Amino acid sequence: MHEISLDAVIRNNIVTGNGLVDFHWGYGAGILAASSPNVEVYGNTVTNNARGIVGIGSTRAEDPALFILKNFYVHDNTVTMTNVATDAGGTPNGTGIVQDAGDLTYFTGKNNRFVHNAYHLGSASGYFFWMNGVRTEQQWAAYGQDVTGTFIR
Amino acid sequence: MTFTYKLSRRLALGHLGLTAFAAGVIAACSGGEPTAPTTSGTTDLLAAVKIAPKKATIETNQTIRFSGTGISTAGDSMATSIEWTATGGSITADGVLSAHATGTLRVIGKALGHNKSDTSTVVVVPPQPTLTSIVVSPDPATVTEGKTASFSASGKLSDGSTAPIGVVWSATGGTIDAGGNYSAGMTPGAFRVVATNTSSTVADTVPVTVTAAQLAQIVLAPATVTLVPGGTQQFIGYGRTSTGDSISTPVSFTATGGTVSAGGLYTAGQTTGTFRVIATSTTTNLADTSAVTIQPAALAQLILLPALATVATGGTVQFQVYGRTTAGDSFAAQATYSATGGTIGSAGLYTAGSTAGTFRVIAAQVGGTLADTSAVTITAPLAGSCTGVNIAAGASIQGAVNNNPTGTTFCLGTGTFVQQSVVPKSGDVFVGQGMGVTILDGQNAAGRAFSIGVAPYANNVTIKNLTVTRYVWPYGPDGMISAANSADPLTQYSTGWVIDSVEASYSGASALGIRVGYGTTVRNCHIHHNWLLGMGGTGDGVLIENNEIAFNNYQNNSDPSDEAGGFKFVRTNNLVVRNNYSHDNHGIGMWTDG
Repeated sequence: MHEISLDAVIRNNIVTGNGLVDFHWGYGAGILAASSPNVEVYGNTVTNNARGIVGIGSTRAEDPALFILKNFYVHDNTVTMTNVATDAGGTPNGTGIVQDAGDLTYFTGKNNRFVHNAYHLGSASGYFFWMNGVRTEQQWAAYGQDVTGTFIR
Repeated sequence: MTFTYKLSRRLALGHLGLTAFAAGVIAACSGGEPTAPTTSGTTDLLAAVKIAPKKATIETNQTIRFSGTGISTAGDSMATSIEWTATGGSITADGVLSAHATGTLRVIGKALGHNKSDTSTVVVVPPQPTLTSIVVSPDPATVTEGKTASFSASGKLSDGSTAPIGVVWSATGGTIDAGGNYSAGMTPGAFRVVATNTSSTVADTVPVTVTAAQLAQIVLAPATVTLVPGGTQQFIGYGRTSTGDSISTPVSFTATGGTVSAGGLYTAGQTTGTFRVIATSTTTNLADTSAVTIQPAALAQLILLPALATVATGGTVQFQVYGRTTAGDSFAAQATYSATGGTIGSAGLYTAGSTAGTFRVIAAQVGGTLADTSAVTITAPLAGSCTGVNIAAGASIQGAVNNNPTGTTFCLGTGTFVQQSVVPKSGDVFVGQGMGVTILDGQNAAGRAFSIGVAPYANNVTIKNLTVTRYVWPYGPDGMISAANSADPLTQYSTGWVIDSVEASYSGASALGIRVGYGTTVRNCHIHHNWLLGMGGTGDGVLIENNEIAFNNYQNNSDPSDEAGGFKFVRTNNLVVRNNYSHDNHGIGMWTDG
């Protein structure tokens, strides 16, 4: 039997103030997993970076079946996004997944998930990237993310 | 006979729409002045009623139709049911007036259920059987699109005299009411207004030119804005016509105090003050200016770095202090330093005393109350604890490596080793006297402090208790300590390197602080102010723990979407990153990529 191991564990780090210069799209995250399978992110304190914790789904020509964002498991982190970090394209600070592969299964079929994280949010309406849009915490939870999470405004 | 079309009769008609309307009016009346919904979802009070035409001349055998509309307190038109009365002749519920007696009468339109009304004057004249022609004035006419013009008509009789007559108005390019009031449409062009006598035997036509509204003003929004240095604001420039309508029109942007894109995105510079953004029409000489005030964001936090430092007795550590604003931006701040366990200069250079222990450095805000404290651990001299080949500062490390077998421990002395590039043998251990005490300084020359050389590559090398700084590697993103070659990290790599308690700082183009290989451990290190990334690389079983990773790509040498920031590891298996402090990197804090 072959058991798939986690390719990366990022845990118990303090990550703050990163990416605030020249950020755009998902780039500017405190913690970023891009086209990388089996990344577990937990126990981190991620505070006022240009983005929070972000997964990027892109197609890698070298081996698109292997280098793909899947099993991205983000749980039990504390993420603060009370700063203003809106890029030139109008994308605000946020946590979640963005993709440029034209593939909505990054959201529905690749076991990417956010569970039981705690968020401190500012005055913007939405802080979550999901299904190709910026979502409110209510929409985020409606997509099944952080259903047991906390959202403090 | 005066005829008033009563509400009771209207309701008796049983018209569904009218009934619904009346029900709404009645319900609204119970709470005071009735209101009407607007498209914005709010409600407006009825402020006035306007009826048209305001004046007219008709003949005794002629009918004309009046219309009425409500005006809200916001100045918008709003649907309002009108109750019509006339002081002479008769008027229907739909506002159609007829009069059989000559003279002057008034038509009153009153909002149903309100006390708002408007009045028109109607002159009733006899038909002119000797009418030979009609004269319409003005002739010709020019009207701006969307605007109005008033026309009048008089009759010329067979005896050459002039007499008032009633006519039927018609028009193209717009609408015209029974009083000769023409409302131009929104299409410029050549049109006409026609007045025809009531027996349709005589008419006059005048040409009407509807002209396009002219751009009268450029409007730049917002008119004022306050930004912090580096902050951004999207400006929008548009046109306003002579008729008051807003239109899209091409503008170019210029700015002071910052930069503005062709699309109007203004980015504030670093200088505070009052500046301006200007939108200039590219087709006229019109422009508008907005005021931009750039003021520093409020200082929210003072940050002293490194937050944790370990130094041997007599060694030095360079501290730096930064301010962080409420907007999350960092900038170099002025502070006064104090310290225990050693001394610290006004520029932040701490010199450890002779006593080992845990001490602190405090930076206090100049002119404020903010402060930050770092912990300093002073260790006893390590020379006695390092048993191996002693290498004094200035001596050749590579020479010592070459003269000793694999697995040798090298004890590096206090001081600076200048422009030394070392290729270890497997199992070698390099132990300095502490970060900031034993320093390998590349002095911005090309080289790598430690690298793997050519195959077979050295494995299981340990590097600890020293500083590497100012190495440049123009051939690719190798590290000042490189456990692999960036040229082909999948085949040119070492295994099992341990980098412990190392300060890696200020690498030059295009070097990283540390490039990992397979099974590399990086722990207890202070990795800061490097060219692209603090760390990077490819390999299985990499462990990153208890490091401070800060201010990498501080000169913005790379776009964050490429590789810039704290670290970027690519195609790792079993990567573990734990208990690190990553902050203020110009790029992603922690990045794992496929």
